[in-house]
Amino acid sequence: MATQPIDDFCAKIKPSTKSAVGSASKETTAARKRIFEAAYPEAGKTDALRGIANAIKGQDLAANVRRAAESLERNGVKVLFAADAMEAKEQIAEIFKAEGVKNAVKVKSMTTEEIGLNSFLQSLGTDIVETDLGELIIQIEGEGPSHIVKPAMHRKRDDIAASFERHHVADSYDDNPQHITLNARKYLRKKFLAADAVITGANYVLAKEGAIALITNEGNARFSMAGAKIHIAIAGFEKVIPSAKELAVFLNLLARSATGQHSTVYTDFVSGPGSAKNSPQKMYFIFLDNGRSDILGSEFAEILKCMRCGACMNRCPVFRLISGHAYRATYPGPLGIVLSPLLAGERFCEYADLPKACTLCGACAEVCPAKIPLPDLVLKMRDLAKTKHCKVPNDINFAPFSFLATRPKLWRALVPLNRLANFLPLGAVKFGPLGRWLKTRTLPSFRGGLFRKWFKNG
Amino acid sequence: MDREKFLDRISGAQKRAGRKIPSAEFSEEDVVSKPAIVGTPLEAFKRNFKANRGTLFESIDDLIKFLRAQGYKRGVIDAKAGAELPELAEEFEMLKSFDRANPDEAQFGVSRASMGIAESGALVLKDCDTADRLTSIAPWMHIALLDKTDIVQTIPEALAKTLTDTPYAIYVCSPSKTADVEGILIEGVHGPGIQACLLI
Amino acid sequence: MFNPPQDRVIGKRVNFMATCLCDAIFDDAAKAAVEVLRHFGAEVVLPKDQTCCGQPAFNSGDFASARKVLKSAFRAFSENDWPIVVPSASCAAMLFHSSKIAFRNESESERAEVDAFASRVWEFCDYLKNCLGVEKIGGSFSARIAVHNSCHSRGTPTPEALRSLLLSIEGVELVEFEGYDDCCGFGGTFSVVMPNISSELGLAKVNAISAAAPDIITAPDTSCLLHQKGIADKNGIDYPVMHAAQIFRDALKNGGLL
Repeated sequence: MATQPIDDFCAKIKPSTKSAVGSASKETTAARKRIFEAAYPEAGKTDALRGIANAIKGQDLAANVRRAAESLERNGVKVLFAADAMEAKEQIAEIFKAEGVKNAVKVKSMTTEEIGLNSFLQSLGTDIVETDLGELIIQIEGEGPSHIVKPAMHRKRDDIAASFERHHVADSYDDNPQHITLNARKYLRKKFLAADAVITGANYVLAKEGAIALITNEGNARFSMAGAKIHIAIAGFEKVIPSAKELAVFLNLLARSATGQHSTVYTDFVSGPGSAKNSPQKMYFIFLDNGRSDILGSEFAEILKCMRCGACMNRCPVFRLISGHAYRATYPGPLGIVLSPLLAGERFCEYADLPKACTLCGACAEVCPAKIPLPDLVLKMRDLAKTKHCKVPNDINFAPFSFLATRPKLWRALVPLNRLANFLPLGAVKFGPLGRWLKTRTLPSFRGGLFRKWFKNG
Repeated sequence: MDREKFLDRISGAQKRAGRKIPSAEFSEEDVVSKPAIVGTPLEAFKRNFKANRGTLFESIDDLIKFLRAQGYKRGVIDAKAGAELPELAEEFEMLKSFDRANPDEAQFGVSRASMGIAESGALVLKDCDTADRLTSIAPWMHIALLDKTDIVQTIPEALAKTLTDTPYAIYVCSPSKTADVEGILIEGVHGPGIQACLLI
Repeated sequence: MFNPPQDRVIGKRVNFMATCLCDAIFDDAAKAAVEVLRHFGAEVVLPKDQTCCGQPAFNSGDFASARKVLKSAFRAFSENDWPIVVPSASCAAMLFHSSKIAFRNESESERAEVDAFASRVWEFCDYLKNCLGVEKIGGSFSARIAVHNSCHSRGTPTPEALRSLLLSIEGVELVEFEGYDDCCGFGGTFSVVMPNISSELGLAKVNAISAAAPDIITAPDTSCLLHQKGIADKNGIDYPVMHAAQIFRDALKNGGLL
């Protein structure tokens, strides 16, 4: 029997990683709660706002994407459509070729992580540098993000400092967090100013105005869009909202949910080539499908309302314990256990164990700013995995149970017999579900049928 | 992929799912944080900007004192700043344009804010009022010149005026910051470590 | 989150659904619940064909098995249309919330049957407070009590009902502990599918609660307590657990009311 990879990951994870991820997640969850209470002391107002966000994200996407594309074009943006990851990467490579791009910088984007853009561009000989500090920390070590908002949350200062020295981001080892940041500042401003192109995602696409909104804290979007002459933005089509008016809802939800701030430091609005002296003179926008239209047509469409704040994973007891890399996919946590297997397409079964990494406690749904019913989706994912006959390690066959539980007479006859098990050396069981239970827990005495007997005689 | 095919996939999915489009109507009342807008827009802006760790000056003299205390010698003023501020040039070497080859030449940059948002304490910098974006992002300190009459009360009001006259705008709430190293808050990552506003 | 349906069936004549865990292990919790229900004027019947709510199969993604078990439950409780009281927040949520997901692609008539059944289901504490209108348990029970919410009570009236009923008992003091609404890692079959994660979460919960030094740990569910107690025992931690119904019953007995 294959072992359970996520559960094994938990057993082997470094204690320092575990404590870093656990405490940071808990703190962010607490900060989220405090900031919403401060912003909306009125009973039910936060909840109502989450409901509005859910409704906005449920608008007619076909119409809004069309309108967004037309508006962007009217503003001088070249608009492209990519069916899948490979097409998007090829479109970007073609732009690089046509524009002669050799050096590019990137502003943190989960969509580009999803399509594996960096390694693709590097294989074509382009220098592409991540400019978000957390992303830079993991990029130079060839790692993927362990959290969608805090990609390097699993790393400690000493190993970041050593890595910076090894990869010449810093001249020497210095593990003071302030100095780590200053070293990155020095290193990256040269990259910003040398870049031919900047690649960004888009937190929101405003259909009416034909603009994107980019939300950052560090200012890397602003700096790269001052340094580079070409701007390429790529986003899943579900990022389109009707207009700037609706953005008010999200600007009030996103930062509070993500990091417990009232607002992020910078919100960039880009509707085309800039008019200031140092600004991109050309802008491309790529709408990405990559499995999204299939999801939209399925019973998992709600997951497309996700605004990538990370509140669900910060709140998730399982994520807090195992960290993002345990999920083996771009999107971890409650969001990821629904989205990642769906995005895997034909390789769905490879990720069919992910939805099992959930206690169904429902805490994620309480904090989701888009009110996505995550536990319900997780359960439907488990159903889908079963329907597709995916093999999941440690899975239990419930046919015998349902056989018994649908035969009341047999049930009544057998349940009292469990008392006989009190005389068996159950502790010796090392395998199967019972063995896994007893490895870390005791069982109380079996008292089958005694309640019914009492009721009957009482 | 061809645009129509791409859009067909989306509309096909929507049809297949057959979900009703919910009403997404809402009012300003539903989104605005009431505690954030207590007082006049100017009062709320000042309160929230300072709460974001922004550095607020109400007179050029206070600004000059601050710059002096920092030991700054050189600044850069954006060509579209809208005010000459001769007082600065008396004491500091004021560059008229930003040199890409030397991004740390100026210790502070001065540029014009097109708008202030009381609710979030944010400055709005628009390309239409900016000669060079680098002035506001590269130096360690940025000073935005904000006309008190350009302060709007709420985020919805600001959004209605953000993209009307410019291809690019940015809301700036505070110093550039990160918590990517062990969750410790550090100011001044790529952008300013000191974000200031001079009310005019 | 696991909100019960609006306009649930009310009444003083009720069916008791013991749950498979009480049927097999925790007979005293079920007994206590019945005694308390009767004390507050409910007429309780125990349909004999009841087995399980189907939750173990459902949570494992075996919806086909879960539907079979649920249908068996529908038959078992079809002799009347009275409320069904369940001394378990998770079984209650299975019956009024999750059952609808299990049957979402089935025929309209089956879905109607599920909805009708769902509207009869009450978690025990919720029923006492919000259907029978019990404000005060009475009697006395001198103890510092830690309440574990049971995650399936999230979004339901159960946590509030449980707390207020406990506080209505003379001598009860509720203790606070860190992460009071965090999951204990049980998660049904999760506990044996992901045993390392489950056990570690369980031990963290046991330690957090133990740090508050309560005399008793209670919950509206025997299953979470089974897991926590099992872990505490294995680690040599003294961890006295009682189902909420057992505390109510003992309080009434202590006060000479039962």
